[in-house]
Amino acid sequence: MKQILCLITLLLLVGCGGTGPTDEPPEIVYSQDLCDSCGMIIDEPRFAAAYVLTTGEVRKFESIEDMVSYHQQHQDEVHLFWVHDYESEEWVRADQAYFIQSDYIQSPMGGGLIAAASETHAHRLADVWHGTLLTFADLMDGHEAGESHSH
Amino acid sequence: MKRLLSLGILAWLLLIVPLAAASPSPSTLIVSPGGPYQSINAALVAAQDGDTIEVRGGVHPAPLVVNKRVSLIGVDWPVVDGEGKGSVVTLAAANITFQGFIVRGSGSEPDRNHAGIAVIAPDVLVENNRLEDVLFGIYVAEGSGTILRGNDITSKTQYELGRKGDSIRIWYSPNVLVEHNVIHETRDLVIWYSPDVIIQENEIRGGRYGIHLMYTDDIIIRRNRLLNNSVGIYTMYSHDVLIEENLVRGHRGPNGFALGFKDADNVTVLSNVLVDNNGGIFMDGTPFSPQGFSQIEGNILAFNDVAVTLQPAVRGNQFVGNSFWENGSQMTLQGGGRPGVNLWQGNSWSDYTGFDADGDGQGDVAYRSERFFEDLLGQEPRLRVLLYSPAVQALEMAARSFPLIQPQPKLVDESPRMAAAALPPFAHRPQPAPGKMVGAAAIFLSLALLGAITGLTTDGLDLRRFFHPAATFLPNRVLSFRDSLHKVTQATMNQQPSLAIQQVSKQYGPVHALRRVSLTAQPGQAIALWGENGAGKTTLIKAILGLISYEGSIHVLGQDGRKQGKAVRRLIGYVPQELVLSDWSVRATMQFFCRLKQANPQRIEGLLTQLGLLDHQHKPVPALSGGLRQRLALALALLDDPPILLLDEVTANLDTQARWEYLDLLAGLCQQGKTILFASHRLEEVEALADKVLLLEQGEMIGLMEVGELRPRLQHVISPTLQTRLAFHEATATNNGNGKTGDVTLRAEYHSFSPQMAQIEM
Repeated sequence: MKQILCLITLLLLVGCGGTGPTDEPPEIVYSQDLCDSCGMIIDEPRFAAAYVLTTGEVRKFESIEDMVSYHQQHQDEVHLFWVHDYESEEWVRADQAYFIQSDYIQSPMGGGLIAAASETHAHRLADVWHGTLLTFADLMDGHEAGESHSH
Repeated sequence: MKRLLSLGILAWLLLIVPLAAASPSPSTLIVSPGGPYQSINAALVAAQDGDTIEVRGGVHPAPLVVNKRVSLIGVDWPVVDGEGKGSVVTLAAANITFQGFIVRGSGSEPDRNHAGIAVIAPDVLVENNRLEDVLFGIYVAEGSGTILRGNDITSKTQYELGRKGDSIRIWYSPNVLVEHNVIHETRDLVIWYSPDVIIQENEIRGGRYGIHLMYTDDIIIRRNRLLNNSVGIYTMYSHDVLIEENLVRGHRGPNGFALGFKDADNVTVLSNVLVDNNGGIFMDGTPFSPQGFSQIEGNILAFNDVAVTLQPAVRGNQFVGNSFWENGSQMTLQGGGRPGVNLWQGNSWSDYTGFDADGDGQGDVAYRSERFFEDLLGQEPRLRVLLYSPAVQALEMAARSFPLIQPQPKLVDESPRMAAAALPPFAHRPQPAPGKMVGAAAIFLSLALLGAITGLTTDGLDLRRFFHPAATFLPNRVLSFRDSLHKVTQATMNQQPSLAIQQVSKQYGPVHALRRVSLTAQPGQAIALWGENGAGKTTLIKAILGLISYEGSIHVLGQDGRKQGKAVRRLIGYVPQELVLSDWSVRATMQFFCRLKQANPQRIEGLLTQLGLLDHQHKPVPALSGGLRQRLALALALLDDPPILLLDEVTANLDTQARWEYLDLLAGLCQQGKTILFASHRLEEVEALADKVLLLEQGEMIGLMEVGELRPRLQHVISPTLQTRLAFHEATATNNGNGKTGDVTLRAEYHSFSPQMAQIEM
């Protein structure tokens, strides 16, 4: 009986304890998960973004501009920021990605932001979209944090 | 000088007049296999501004780029086929009319906005076209003043919603009018940076965001039908938005709001019907600015899981004169916390348990939304999956039993309205057959009564099916619930009283509607509730049905009416004094209720026969006599074969013959083992049917007696003259040998039993 009680206690501790942050990219269930910033359905991997808190919790976003805006408002302690390579739709760490902003890109919240995994790729996308190349630091400094609405 | 001026005018006339004479009048160019033009492009080359190009049938290649001010009119549905490449039709000159075409086969590149029709010039009219197998439907980019009217738009069927294009995308295009379009299975109808747009009288179904506003101001959205999209109308970062008289139904996507507002200002939401959605209205950051407003007025929010969801910081909304009807939760604070200051005034609430003593239509005590589960739901939205489960009822009971965990009310409406608004005509569901629905009030009242009859007034689960034509099959959990319920019923029927009421009291403010009423009824027993108007008969019936809260206990076949309310209500068939029904036929009504109650459809035939309705089965309900209509109401109550029947003055409006025939039916049901509890004012009716009589007076239980004790008890309050006449007519009736009292009407004054005039019709 004691063994069972110990086992249950252990399970409860494991269940309640959380697992802490990992370096793995988060999972988004497309067409189901909602953007933590704007509440909209996350549908398009190429624009989707996320960050993992130091607690291991994940915040998911419909667009890069949503992520930047949300972080500026909430000032969460973030372990890793993640974005998608626009063409391959593979996850890439935001601090290792290259960003393109263009008024011709119709991203979900109108910020016109996409990301690329390599610099070469980023230059090509910037040419295609007549866009500006940015770093993640530029975005986080608020230089191009997406559309600021008209109010 | 004059000479010079005259010469100038002459020269001008000489120059202009020949030019004007040379300008051709608008002409019509015909495109058809027999000529004169065999392709649209050939006609376009020849056309002048203002010409009409009439295209008669045929399949025409794309891309079709129109860069002259012409009218392209399709006759016999000519097709423009993009064969999967790029945009199919581009309207690139002002004042083009494009009408009557089938446009299909665009490319699939969302980055390139591959569309059926791209409008890139102002004042274009796109009317009565059919767009299919296109990524985007109509893409209006910098096309101010464009009119999109009467088009049928769908997208590429092979893609999921998120991958499809938008049905209509309006981009930097002010003063656009979108009306009378039918849009289905596309992504969004989305307006970006385009002020002064009107969207009216469209039907939008099966998409992602029915209508989505982004950074778009001065918008009117009215009289649209939004059905079964993921989200109905979502307004983001926009101001001065009027949303009026829309029907928004069946939005069950991941967030599934009928109306959502994010950082919006000056929002007016008037007279919409928001039915059967995950959420009715969602507010985040709205109103956005301190001087902004949000007026939510005169809307009907019914059968939604949650009627209104507010972020805690939301304040300054005015919810006035709305009808909140049978929502799983009336208001939820997302994320919990304390609500901001919002005005709730003059709304009607289906879970309001107050009273209206002065009869002014306004409740005399405030409505408070303070359900425990709603509080939990706000903190953890995923709990919504439990919304209709017994666990919720258990939680609510725990909260009532232990007030320490009862949350503070999230809203208080100091002046609740007693009556809900009638369903407006625009919200009627088209009925394929048989016959048309009657007026709006009838439908809404029918729904309300259905709630009572099916016993699902607190969870709305099955009532939602009224709005779900496709959802005719039961979820497994409901089936297993019903199976287990049936077993419980069978096992307990012979062991427990059908109905056990112990010390039930109900108080409305200072008024005691019921005071310590107790009663036990066995299978096959009929018990009459006797008392004047206001004695508490209907209150007791409502308590048994679980429609009001009460003190004491009510057990039905051993099950607690409060703990197992849903199961208990399924054991009861309820027949009101008058049931408002549509103008369907008798059989169609039976079939509809059968689906609604998930009853066995094979019972319909038997009930029609048993209740004498077989010969009337094809008649519309309004054509039935009062007696037949009450038979139908009884048949509907019996669809589920409930062991207990509650009848509230059911014979009040019947003539003598119909009344006795009806009583005969009820007596037969009693013989079959059903327990009948009925309210009545008629002595002979009580004597004919009841085994026992529960006497009520002003909520007090005067006594529970054998039926034979009733008449002697009343003798002392009937004048000697009337006693003589009663005896005479009884004798006459007996001499007639039919056991009935005939058509004689006597009126007796019950001076002490009934302080006011009570009437007995015999």
